[in-house]
Amino acid sequence: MKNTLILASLLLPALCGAETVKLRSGEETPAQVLSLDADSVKLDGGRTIPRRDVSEIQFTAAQAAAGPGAASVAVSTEEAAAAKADFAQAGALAARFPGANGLVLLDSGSHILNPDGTTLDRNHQVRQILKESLKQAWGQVIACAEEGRDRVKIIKASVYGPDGKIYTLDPSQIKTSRPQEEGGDFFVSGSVCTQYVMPNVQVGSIVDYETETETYNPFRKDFFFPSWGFQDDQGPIAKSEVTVSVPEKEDFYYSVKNFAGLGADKPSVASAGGMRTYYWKLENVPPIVAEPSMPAYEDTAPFMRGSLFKEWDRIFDWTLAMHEERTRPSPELQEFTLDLVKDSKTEEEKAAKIYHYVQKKIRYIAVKVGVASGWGGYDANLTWKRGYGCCIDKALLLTTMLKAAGIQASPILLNTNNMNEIDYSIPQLGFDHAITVAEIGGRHIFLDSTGYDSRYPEIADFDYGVKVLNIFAKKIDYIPVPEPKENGSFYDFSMDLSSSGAADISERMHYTGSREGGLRYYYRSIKKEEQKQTFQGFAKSVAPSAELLSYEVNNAEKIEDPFTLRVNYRVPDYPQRAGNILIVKLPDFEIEQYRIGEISLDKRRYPIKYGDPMGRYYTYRISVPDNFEVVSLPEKINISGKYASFSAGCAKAAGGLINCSLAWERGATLIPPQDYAEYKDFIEKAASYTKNQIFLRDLSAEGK
Amino acid sequence: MKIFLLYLLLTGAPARADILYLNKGDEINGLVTAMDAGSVTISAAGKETSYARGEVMKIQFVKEYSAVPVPPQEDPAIQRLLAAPPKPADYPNDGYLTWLDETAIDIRPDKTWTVTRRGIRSVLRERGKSPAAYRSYSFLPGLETAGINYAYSITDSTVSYLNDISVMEGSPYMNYPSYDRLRLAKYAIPNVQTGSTLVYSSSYSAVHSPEYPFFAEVPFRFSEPVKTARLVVTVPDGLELSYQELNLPKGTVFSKTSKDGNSVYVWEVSDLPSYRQEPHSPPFMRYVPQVALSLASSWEEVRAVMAPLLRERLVITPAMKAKAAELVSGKTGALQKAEALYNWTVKEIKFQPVDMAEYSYLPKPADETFSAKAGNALDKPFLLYALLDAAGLKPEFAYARSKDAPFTEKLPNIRRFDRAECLLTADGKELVLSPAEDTRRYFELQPELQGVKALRVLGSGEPLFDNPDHSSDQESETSSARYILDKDGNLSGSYSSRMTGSFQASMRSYKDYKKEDLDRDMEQYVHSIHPLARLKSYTLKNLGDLSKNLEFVFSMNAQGYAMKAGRYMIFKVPGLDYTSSDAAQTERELPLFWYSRSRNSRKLTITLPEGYRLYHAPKDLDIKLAGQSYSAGFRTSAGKLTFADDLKMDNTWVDPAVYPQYKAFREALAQFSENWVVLEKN
Repeated sequence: MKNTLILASLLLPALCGAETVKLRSGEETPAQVLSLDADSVKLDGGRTIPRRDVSEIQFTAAQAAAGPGAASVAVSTEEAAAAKADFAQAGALAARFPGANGLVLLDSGSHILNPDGTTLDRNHQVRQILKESLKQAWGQVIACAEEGRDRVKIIKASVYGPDGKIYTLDPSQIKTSRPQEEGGDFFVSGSVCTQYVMPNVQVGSIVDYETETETYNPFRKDFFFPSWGFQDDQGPIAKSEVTVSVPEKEDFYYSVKNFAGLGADKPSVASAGGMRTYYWKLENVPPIVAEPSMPAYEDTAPFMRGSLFKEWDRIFDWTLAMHEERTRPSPELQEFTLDLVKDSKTEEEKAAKIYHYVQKKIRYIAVKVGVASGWGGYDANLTWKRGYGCCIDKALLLTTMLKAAGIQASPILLNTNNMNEIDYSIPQLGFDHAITVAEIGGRHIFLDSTGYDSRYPEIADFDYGVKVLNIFAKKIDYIPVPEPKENGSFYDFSMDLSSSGAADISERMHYTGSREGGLRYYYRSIKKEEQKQTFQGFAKSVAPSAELLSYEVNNAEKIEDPFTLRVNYRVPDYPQRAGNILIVKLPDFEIEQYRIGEISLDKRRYPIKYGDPMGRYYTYRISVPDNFEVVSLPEKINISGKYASFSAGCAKAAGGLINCSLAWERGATLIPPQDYAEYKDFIEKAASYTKNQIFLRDLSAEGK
Repeated sequence: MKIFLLYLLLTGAPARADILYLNKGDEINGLVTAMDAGSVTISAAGKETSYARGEVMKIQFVKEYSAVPVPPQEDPAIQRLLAAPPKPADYPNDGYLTWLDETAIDIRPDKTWTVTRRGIRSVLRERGKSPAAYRSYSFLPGLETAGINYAYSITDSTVSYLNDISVMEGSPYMNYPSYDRLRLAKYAIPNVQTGSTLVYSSSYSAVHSPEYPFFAEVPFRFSEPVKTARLVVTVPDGLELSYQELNLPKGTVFSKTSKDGNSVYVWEVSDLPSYRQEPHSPPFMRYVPQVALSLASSWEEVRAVMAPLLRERLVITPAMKAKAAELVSGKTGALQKAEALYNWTVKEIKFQPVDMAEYSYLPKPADETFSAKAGNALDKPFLLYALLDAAGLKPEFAYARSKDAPFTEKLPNIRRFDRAECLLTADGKELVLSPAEDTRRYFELQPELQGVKALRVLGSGEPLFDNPDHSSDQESETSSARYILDKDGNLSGSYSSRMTGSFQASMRSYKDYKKEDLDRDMEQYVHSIHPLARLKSYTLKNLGDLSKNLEFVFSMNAQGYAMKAGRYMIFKVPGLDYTSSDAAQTERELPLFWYSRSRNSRKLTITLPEGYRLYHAPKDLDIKLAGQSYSAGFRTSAGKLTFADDLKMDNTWVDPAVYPQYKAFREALAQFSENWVVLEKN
């Protein structure tokens, strides 16, 4: 439902000299287009094509599949010597880092900004494959580019066999393809990928390939944002290096992170030929060993980002110009909006009406054809008429309608919290989502109209706790993280035990914050009969012999009202009998292992990253018949750590009742590795506690 | 009705709409009115603007898919639907209703054919909007051409036609360049709201070839309801249609008529409810109502057509002969030789997961696969066949139909198959070798190929035969564990496991993990037993050696494993956690299905803490229902508690009528797992 700022995926290839005329038949003709009118397209050489048969005219030069430079190369003595040296280096690296799937001997990149604003990126990799599974991923080169802006060349692709044989690039085997995948949400066109499968790749082979991507037609010549990651997840890297070259007259700003313990984060800088070059290098970088719930690659691996400017003004100005233009309500939309909110008395009521309207009436679908629609979004009036749009389109429409209703609002760009954290010290365009912020009743409220399920003013959990670009305010804003109770799940159980051990159990559930929207989404997405199956599963998870009596799913389709659940089930033989002892499990009380996989490792190298805070609150009212005597109850517990707290306990009450409760809160969303041991200990104590049971004695079995 | 027609408005994009893309990134929607040597002129938002050609990156001429045979306002079917749209309350389960799902197949005298799909849908609920509006189709360039005929939505009396902007065509297998042939086109009909009516049609045409003859399987029921499903097949006189009806409901109307030198077959089914998700459902094509179609042939004929084509591709180069000789060198019997050749093929030839239906029913020449070191589920077995042949082992080669779809002998056609295999008699053993993923030993046939029909193409026996079916012992895990429980409730001990079939193949996929990742997973696995469980050590031998079985052993400890309550100590058997979650519903519509039989047995001994005696252990359980059996029991002796159980699943297809038995079976297991073992202090 996000990932709509598709700039990054609009990578595509293209051209040279004359135009390329693409016909609906699939034919592509390089030709000079002389003229075009209502009926025909005239080409040089006297050819005239009916306009209806033409799908596209590309004005920038088209690229040959292989591209210049992709020439068959005989094996040179230098390459043979290099191969030998690579094997020697690989042996040493393998000894230092045993057990890897592969070895990265060289991971080298360069980013060049030419004086005319075009750019050239090169990527040179030398890798040894040590497992069959890497033959596919490391044994081929696939590079994609945006048609009309970029072109890709494969400069080199050699395979050094463990048997001493060397296979060099065969340009006749280079192919191109347009990526496609099933799914009705994304329609992003324009990308063409160059593919080459390196021959005779075996376990033990070393692949040595180099690609070049030239952006010959940048949409902004000052938008030069090189980046480089210096770590791999399959094996160690002997040398990871990157150079960034800019004309001397240009400033260049950069940030690096996660270099600690690996090498110098300051680049060497050299000048030559009117260009200034920055160079970073790390050696012997160990592989990433993934951990459950760890942050994104860029937040954990050594990483560099750069830009020609340090402030965000240029990005704000460029984006603001597009967004302002696209958020001017037409008289028709203005009138519609005012009519929509005519019965609303407060700004809150108006905002809620508009928020729910955009959520419900604008179907989520990303149809993007270039940077203007991908980054700038479509005009809000068009989105309103079309009835569909992606996150930025919906954010612009929401902004427009709020403005039409007299509420100050702005589109917001962000990286959701399941992606890398945006490094705001260096401008970039790597955002994956867009929402809206508004000043409503004196409050600064973020609204995400992309989905369908959040009740005003709630938003999806992946929006929490991230810094964002507030476009109209031209500032970096922050979406706050709610308190655990404001993002909580509340379960209230009532259990009536009969003298025979049968139990009638009822459970009411309600939710706050993103939890409500998340649950609403699930229940709205499944069939009514499947809802019933879900509740039958609920009951069975408490006791295998449980039979569902009734259930309620309230307001799954009505986002204006709270979403709640209720279920009743009967268990004919609920307590487990062990002689005259009865063991009673509190339903859903136990913290099962699958819920705490993030603390399953003895030690962690990386932080635990949660998407949202958590509050789980349980109450139990258990009615115990006269013939049962309480032997023991779970003792009270109240533990709290730096990041979370847990309290629970049971007590006897008048009238043969046992009351129990549990509250588990975690306000933090990031647990640093230095606090992991304490946090793990805390969770394990809580989880172990929840294995406790209620022990009763059956007096009737003892003849009492 | 006529009054209503007046309200149908045509909107959306104009009949002709262009997009002008500027180098600086702008996208201008309008109508390109002129272009000359110097400039491009576009009319947009009521004014004409000219741009120097140097500013322009691209012009896209947007096509609208509005070539409807009958305009919506004149189409009686649409008008009837609009006049009396379906009520959501009548379809409480569903997101949308397919009012009409029509497939028309026209076969021509030269055996080429065209398939046209036409549909009308009504959106009932929010969640039906996107799936109702989304359509896709795929085709094999060179054999097939395909395209959208028309598509539009009617929302609040407004007609919006699909245009190029939300149509996208490309390759789903770009990451497998050697098998990158299939093209997938998808589109999303615009302007869809709850209550919208959607109309669409697309077609594909195919040329006939011996290895790609006419064949179609047309399903009638889906995850959303269908009001009317219709299949119309037109066959010219002189060609004979073979068809097989499967799972068609009562009330299906069939007719066959003659017209203009053609036979016209029509199947029509009405009021098909939606399917709901049910655990362990069979593959869709195994239960859906469908008609399978082919031109008449015989299996002998299919073999006669395919065999020479395969032999042409059976290119065995000196390098291949040398490799085969190298691999079998020193091997004493045919079985050892076959194993060596299988192991090499399965490991050294990268598996390319592109179905033969999505690339070709003819294998690539064996030498090509040998050189490329990559092959799909057809080409890897064919290369193995070539190597077995080169080694003088006299193999046979067959196509097989996996369990993903039904098979009937009535429709001989090579396109019935989706897998391939080599057959071999070695040292008295009948082998079926189907190298694909490199995690299976040579005798561990994939579950989806166990017991299925196959067509012997290269070989002398009967063309059709049944693959061997594996016993539950061939798909099993047998574990043993020894633990010590101390007086504080701490548990420590070791666990070992032997696996066969898919259990072993699944575990063997750890071979692709780097050491640290494997360590991590083992640590996590042990932690899943108990919050305080800690891995002490583990060994997982022979991961990368397909000639040997895996050996898996770990040792662990878990503080506070058993809980104390007064003089009692309670615990559950480690790892005994059967649930009845797949049998929670009270009844089922669909059968229960598993790809293979299976067996899980374990034996576990726990040394009890001094000063404690067994107060309570669950009673023995011995149950056999619905083709499944389970036995379990506790024994004590000399301060030790022994637990043994054995779960066998011998029936891989349980009819809905037998579901109550299966439910009772699973609930008995789950109830047994819930039980605590109670110790009492002496």
